[in-house]
Amino acid sequence: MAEKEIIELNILGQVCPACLLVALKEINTHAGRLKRGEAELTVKTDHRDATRTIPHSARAMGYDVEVVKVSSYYEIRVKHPSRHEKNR
Amino acid sequence: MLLTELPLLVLFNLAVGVLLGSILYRSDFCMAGVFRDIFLLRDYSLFRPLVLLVLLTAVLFSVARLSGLILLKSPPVFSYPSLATVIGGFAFGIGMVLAGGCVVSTVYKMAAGNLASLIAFLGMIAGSMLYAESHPWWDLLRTRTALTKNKMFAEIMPEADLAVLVAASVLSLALFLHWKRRGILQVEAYAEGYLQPWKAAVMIAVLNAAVYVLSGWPLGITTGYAKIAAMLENLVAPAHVAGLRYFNLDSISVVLPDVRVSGGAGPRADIILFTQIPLLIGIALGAFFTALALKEFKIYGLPPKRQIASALMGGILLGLGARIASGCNVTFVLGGVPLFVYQAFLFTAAMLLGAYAGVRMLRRLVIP
Repeated sequence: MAEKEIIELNILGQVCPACLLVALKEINTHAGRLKRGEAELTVKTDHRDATRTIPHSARAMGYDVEVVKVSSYYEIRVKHPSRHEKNR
Repeated sequence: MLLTELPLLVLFNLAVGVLLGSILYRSDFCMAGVFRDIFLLRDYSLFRPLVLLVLLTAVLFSVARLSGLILLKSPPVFSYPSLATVIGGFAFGIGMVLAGGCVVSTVYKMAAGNLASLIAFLGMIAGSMLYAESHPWWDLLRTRTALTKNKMFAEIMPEADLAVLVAASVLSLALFLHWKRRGILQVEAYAEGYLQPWKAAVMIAVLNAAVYVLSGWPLGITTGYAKIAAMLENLVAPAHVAGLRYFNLDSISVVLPDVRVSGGAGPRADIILFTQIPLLIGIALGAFFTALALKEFKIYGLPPKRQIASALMGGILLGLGARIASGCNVTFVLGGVPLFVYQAFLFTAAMLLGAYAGVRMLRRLVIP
């Protein structure tokens, strides 16, 4: 399998609705590569509410999302669902 | 049931603050977030718990009032509605979105190390100072554009409390069951130690009722901000502070059975100092220790310049707007609406319009 590129979006310490808007913008910017599975977007945020709204929006856009807590902040990983995984 | 011993009053408000700080931090129950989600994403996940919170508060408040636990049926924190309520509410709404939080969420986010919220907090202090300078004009507007002499429904309808109790009880139960059955009461979230907003709603309603009974009137904090502003300004320009009419007047003045209680935004020790300041400190402490326990306290550095400007401007509008309207989202939405205070409805409507305008501004100016 081809190496997946991890695109990082660091929005640690940023202001509320800006977090969400910036993240959604970033997702759309790389939409093509994300959807083709060539890349994965990792959003680093300390904003707890973003771990609710970003996955919600990204999933509505058709992506697969994983949220992992890393030390004192969260990583929201946005990827295209693999064709072999039909998880719900 | 009103606490009249000062040390008890201070401790009580501090305790409430600590609990609130923890509850709000864990549930992200920020009112700015409620409306942000509605306007940006058409998502009502946080709005439903807010509705439950208001209804539940109405139930608890009316029970307290009907059972004789409430000393002040006409809370001194509310007044008659005027154009100032609308202007203040509108400014507050814009500020809420630009600052990334309301007056309380700014505190709990700041307590977790968020510098943008700290900037917003400083903005609120500045906004309060600006208000103090311009108070005479706003006072004139307030008196000239008074919409009615009454302040709440209960003044003109003596059975209001019973009517509210019945209606709010039925509505809250019906909505709760309906949303539960549809599976939309729980919110999907991943933050560690997450507290479901609907549970937070129940806790906040209980706390607000306790505050109304034991501390005299429903939760409120923006006079506290103005007092902090006055105290800070007093350190550098005491003569100027002493000359400002706003810092000399009492925004609260009630005659109780054995004592007269009064307080305002001035840099003096009064009822505001013994209730709102401990509450504010408590919220910060509660959030701080919760963040610490979850290992989430960290200062990450400043956000992009546009966000710093947005946070500062937002904070100023929050501080200024709250003083112009004589209240904030906590006092009006969580305390005034359940009591059918006219100011509260007017403020809330104006705040929503302001929030909508704020979102438009944010999209155009802050996000490059």
